[in-house]
Amino acid sequence: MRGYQEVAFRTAYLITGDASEAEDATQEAFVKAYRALGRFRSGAPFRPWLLAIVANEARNQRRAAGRRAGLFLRAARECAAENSPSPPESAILAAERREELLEALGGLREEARWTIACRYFLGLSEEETAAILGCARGTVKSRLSRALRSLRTEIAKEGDAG
Amino acid sequence: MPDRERELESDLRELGSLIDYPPTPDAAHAARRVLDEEEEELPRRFRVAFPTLRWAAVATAFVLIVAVPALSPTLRATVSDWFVDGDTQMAGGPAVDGGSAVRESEANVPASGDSKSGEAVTSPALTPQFSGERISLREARARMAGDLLLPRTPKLGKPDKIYASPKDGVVLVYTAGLPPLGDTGISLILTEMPGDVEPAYLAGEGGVGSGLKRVSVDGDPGYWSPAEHHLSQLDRPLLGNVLFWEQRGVALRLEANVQKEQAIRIAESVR
Repeated sequence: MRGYQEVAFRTAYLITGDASEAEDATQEAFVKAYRALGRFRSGAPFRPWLLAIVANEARNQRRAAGRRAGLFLRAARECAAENSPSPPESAILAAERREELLEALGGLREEARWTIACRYFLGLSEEETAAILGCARGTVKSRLSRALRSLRTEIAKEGDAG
Repeated sequence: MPDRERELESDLRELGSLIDYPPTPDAAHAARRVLDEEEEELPRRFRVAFPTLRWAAVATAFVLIVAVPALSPTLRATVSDWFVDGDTQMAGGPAVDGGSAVRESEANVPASGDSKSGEAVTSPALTPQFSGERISLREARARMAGDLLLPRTPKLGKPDKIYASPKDGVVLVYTAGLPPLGDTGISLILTEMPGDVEPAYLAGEGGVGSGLKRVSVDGDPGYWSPAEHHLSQLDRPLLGNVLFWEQRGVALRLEANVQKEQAIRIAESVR
């Protein structure tokens, strides 16, 4: 399990928005995965199966804590402001671009936001994204395409408004 | 793929790479520990399935409750000492000494400010005195008739020390995972007693409004009190904030240097 704990914890962190809850969710998911090993289909990839359990546990934690979804946007916004690698002369433009992107992400439906977060923030494969979202692998491709289209529309709306 | 789309994807990846994730905890190790504990519990469940030992426990209880008064005064005092340590424990406190946390070298160190040389005297380490017998995890489980409850918060790990307490209770002492309680080196004290919270810990307290706040622990009622609040029925001044709640017929008292929300989270991990 050690080899999977970073991606598992980061997935849980983006869902719960809280390090301590993410830690609990990851641990609980590992325990449940171990108990459910008998039901694991031999020959199937292990990581998507495990990440589905982690995401489920993290969602339960988030619900129990009464938090709303989409917390990763807050985390991304806070971190992006602090960790910008851009040189000073382009820093303002890059920060504006990121802020624009975050605003646009905030305007998307949760399903679209999560498809984007899985693929681009967590760097997950289509199969892993499908496991977390609870959909077929082929659906991820179409959802991602729709999500990016919606994102561009949101960005354009902001451009027009600005 | 059009350049515009590639650029958008690249921007999203860059944004994702800027997220400052907290350090990854060793959840695999913590999960292993939980599973190990469950394996340890299996032989105990096997024993519980056979009622002989239960009957032995009932017989022992009968001897203590009914037959002890008939014993010689000396023997009766000895038997009583196993279960009662002074008046504080009669009030239902855990096996932490009624004299409270004592200064480690009280006899040798003058009280703060009493230094004849006029130099500042620093407070020596507070060491809570656990007067009950040190017992093993297995013994604690037997003592709680199979209902020993443990926090499953990974960072706490297993209890470092366990003591028997009166009224068939146990005191679990942890030293890792949370800020220490004063300078004791202890991170959390969890006391468990069969029965309800009020008679176990709060008899004589004014209840909600007297400093105790009502809280919900996994949907069940509990009480929260900050460390500075004085609870007259407790065996010693509080070293940290305290949470009382009941779970599966066990009255629990959690003492730690954490805020209410975190204490409740730990309490909700107990099973």
